[in-house]
Amino acid sequence: MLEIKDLSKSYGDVLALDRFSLDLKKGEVLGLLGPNGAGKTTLISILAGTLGDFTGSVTFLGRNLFADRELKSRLGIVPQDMAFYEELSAMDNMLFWGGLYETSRAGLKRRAAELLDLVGLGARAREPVKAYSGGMKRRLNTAIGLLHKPDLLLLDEPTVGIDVQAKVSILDLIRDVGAAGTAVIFTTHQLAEVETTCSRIAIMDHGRILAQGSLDQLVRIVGERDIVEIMGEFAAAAFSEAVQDLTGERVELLSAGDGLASLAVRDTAEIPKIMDRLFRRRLAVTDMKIKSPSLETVFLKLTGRTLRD
Amino acid sequence: MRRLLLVLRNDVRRHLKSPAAILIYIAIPMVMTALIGIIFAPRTEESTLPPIRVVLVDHDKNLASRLLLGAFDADEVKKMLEVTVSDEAEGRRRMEKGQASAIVIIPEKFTLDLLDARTTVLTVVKNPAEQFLPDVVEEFMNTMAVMLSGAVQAFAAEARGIRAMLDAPVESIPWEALGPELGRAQKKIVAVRKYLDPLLIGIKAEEAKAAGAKTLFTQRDLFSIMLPGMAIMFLLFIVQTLMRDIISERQDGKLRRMMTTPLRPLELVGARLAGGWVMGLAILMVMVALGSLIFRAEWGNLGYFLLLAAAASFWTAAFFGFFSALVKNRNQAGALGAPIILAFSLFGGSMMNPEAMPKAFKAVGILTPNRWFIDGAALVRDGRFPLAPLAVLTVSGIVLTALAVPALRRKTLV
Amino acid sequence: MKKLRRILHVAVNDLRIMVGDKAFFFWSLVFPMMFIILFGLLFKASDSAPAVAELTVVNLDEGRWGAYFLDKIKTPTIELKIVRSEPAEYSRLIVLPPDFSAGIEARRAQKLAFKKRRDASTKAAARVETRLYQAVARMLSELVLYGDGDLAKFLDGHAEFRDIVQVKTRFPEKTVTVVPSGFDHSIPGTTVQFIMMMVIIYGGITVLEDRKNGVLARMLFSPLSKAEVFQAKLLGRWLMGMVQALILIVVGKIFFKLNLGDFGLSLLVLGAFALAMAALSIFIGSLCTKEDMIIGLAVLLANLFAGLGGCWWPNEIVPLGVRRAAMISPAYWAMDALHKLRFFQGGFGDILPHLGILLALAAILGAVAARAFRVRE
Repeated sequence: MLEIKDLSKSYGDVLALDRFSLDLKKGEVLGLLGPNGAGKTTLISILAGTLGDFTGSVTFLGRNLFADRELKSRLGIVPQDMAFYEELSAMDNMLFWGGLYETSRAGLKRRAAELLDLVGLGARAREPVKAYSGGMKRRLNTAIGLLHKPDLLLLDEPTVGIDVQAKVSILDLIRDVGAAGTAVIFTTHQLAEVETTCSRIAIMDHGRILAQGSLDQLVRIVGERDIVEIMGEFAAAAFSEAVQDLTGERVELLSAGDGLASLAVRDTAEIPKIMDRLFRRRLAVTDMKIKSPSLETVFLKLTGRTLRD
Repeated sequence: MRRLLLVLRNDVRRHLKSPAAILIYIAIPMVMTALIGIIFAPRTEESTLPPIRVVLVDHDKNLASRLLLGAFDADEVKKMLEVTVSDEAEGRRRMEKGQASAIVIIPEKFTLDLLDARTTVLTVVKNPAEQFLPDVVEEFMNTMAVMLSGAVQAFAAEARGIRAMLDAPVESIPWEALGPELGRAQKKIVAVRKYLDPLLIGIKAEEAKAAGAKTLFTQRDLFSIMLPGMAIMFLLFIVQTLMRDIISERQDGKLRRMMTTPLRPLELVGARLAGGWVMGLAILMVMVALGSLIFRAEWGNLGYFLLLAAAASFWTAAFFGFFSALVKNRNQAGALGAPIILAFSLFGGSMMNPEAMPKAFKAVGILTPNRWFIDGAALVRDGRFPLAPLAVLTVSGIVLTALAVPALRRKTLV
Repeated sequence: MKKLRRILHVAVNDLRIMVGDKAFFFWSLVFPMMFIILFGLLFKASDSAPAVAELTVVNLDEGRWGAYFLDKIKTPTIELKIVRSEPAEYSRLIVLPPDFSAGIEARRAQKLAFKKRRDASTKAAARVETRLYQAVARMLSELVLYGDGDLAKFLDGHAEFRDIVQVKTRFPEKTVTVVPSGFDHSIPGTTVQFIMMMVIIYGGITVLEDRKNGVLARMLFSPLSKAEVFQAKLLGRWLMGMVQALILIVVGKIFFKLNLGDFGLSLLVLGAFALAMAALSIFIGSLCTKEDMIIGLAVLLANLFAGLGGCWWPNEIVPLGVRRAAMISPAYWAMDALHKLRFFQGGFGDILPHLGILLALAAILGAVAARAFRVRE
């Protein structure tokens, strides 16, 4: 559905996008992660058609996205800004923004009412938006992007600064939209949101995708390992001796003490082998914990710990 | 007190860092004063108007019309009227181009009618697009008509003689009989001279003492009169902008943050009101300095004026402090503030000469700070102490402060 | 067609938001009305309700000539306030001394003190002064006519002054038939001034706010191009100016019997003028980063253009140099065209140059504004 190829954009000497490439299928929900300045907003702005002067190509539904302005009608964008008219009611805003697309007035009214109900604003649809809470405004912001039933939805940090309930509502909506066949690109700093909402995660920095795939795939790609902590009635030396023949490429003994030891494993399939060695030596194990690497660990591993401007 | 001064200093510093809006508001009264000053300043000692362009159409082409043309050619008249002799069609063309204020038509047989002491009519065709200058031409012609009527009546007998001479062949005129007639005419001329030189009833423009009246009016006087009205109008705009911080801070959370520090609400309110007052006064004095430098405006006793300026900026700060406590948000403040200021200025005399204003407007004007400041500035210019304006501005300022402080304190309870 | 529909959609939405604002009511109707009434009353020239100039007379005369002289001054346009001593406050004052009658009867020259406040109305002062000179001329004529006789007996019987030469006034043919009312002068001026103020302030601020809130950028997410967003904003502001003009004209017609001459052509002039102001408002909104700066600039420009353009005072009293400088003011061209239509029964041909200049100005300002137009901060 969407194919981005070698997209590059620079601001003076700063390269915001560096031969960025990405494919997206129908119904796929892609979480785009990256530190500040990674190029996420630049990418969204280019796709939205608000930023020019770049190189590379974007094919959307088999056509050049920038050659055919009417193709923008198939694109839905939810900007980070609460970009709507606060003086107007939610319904009036929906009718205005929807009116910019080729939708019949009656159809638009129906769709607006449905969407406002869906995001929980139906009962207050006629109130001026300026009276809304931050969460309500965010929900309206998202609903406006969905009015014209886009084939591709781009969301730029849609859950910034809102309460848990509003956040869950928006994430549910994104999942539902994906399930209904709309492709979604969703940028955020909230890693947990991506883990629970997206079918694919892409981590980008310095204008490029550093890694992409499911969380498991990412973990494997970056070579991050599970940590196994074992507690029991054993001496440090005995423990080290028991697992000695397993250590190497796939298993690493991180620390061994009397009654507590920890190992790093490439694959959880190595754990039964470790336990087998301990039982054979009659070393009593009372408890075991496996710490899987989180998206945060992967993210930091890929993008580093240096603070960004 | 230390914290109050800290907030005050910070406010002043912030506004000095981005002074664009304030500079524009200081520039506006200067530009407006310059414009009005250039347009309305007297060009000569006698006239405040540009030469009035008149087209004269002479259908008489005889003795009296020539005399009238001669009168238009007199130096004194030439300063006021720029006369071109032409026809009515040309006059109309000039009117449409804005190059003629009136057409004066001398009728046929004008001379003969005068000599016969028959009523005759001069027609003034007024430019319909103009409001003042055609009236001036009309008044001028009315005065000329009175003088001509007087002359015709005074010399009616002589005029009849001239009329007879014009009609009769030269050889039939009894020249020897004209002696006594000429003698009588001479007596009349002597009598007229007695009344005219010196004028029996002259009008002497005097420098009036009352209420600062003065007869000689210069461009500098005009600037001096106008500037206080402009200055108070834009002082209101500037202080409103400064005091709007109170609302912005409430909206963007700075107020909440300030209230988590040991700063007491009263200190914050005090700092805001004092800030509006001090900055307002400083800006007013900048306007005074610019007015003196650019327009050589007279302000009178500077000490008195400083007191008046302090009272006006105190009133303004208190008013907008109270106003900020009443409005809900910045947008509302912007939407209501400017209309209030313009209404104050319109009724209070910042936009026009109070004497020229309708009575109802003048009555409402008493409720505005503009009126009191303008009146006060006029008194100071005339060398008098502006007691009433000072008292009104100070007392009402105190009342407004008494209302503003608790209202603003309540607003700090976030 | 789709493009036009979208542009209109955005423009009408802008208009709706602006008209829905409570402040719009004040700015477009209440405040201009105050101006219209004030200037209308101030400049009214109708015969039925002449403006009255005040003259304070300190009549100390011990004889009968003082009252006779005052009779000669009397006219409906001058209100005489006769007092016995000089008051503290007055606009214009003349003093008839105790020996006024005695002086005349002795045929002794005397000068009457005439004082006027320097800040009083110049027009009223001029009217009073002219009347004083006319009264003197009338009296002197009667005295000449009276001859050498005893002037103490003059008031018991003398030849009355006759206005042999009279002055009749009229307007040129095919212009106006009745004296244009003050409102006919004040409403066009106020309308032009407030179109400037309102369109620049509202138009500029909303461009700034839409840019700051990301609304302009969001519009580009739709099939609208940047040029179309600009055109829509221009149209919205133009519509606002026209709505305001229509409100003031309709109110003027209903309450003040406003006559604009050819109504359609007047609207055409105001339309061309509003278009130039709409472009200027987008330019200012794109340049400024703060609301206060826009308000300040709008007040400065609108007042300057209004003052130069003849919205406040009649252009004829302006020095020639300033009148030439006024040509840089768009208000001047609008006002001059409206004058041609109202006062000279002008037609399309008469206002063609004005329309050309206003449209050219709109095109230039539009091009500059389009260049400066930004959709994001």
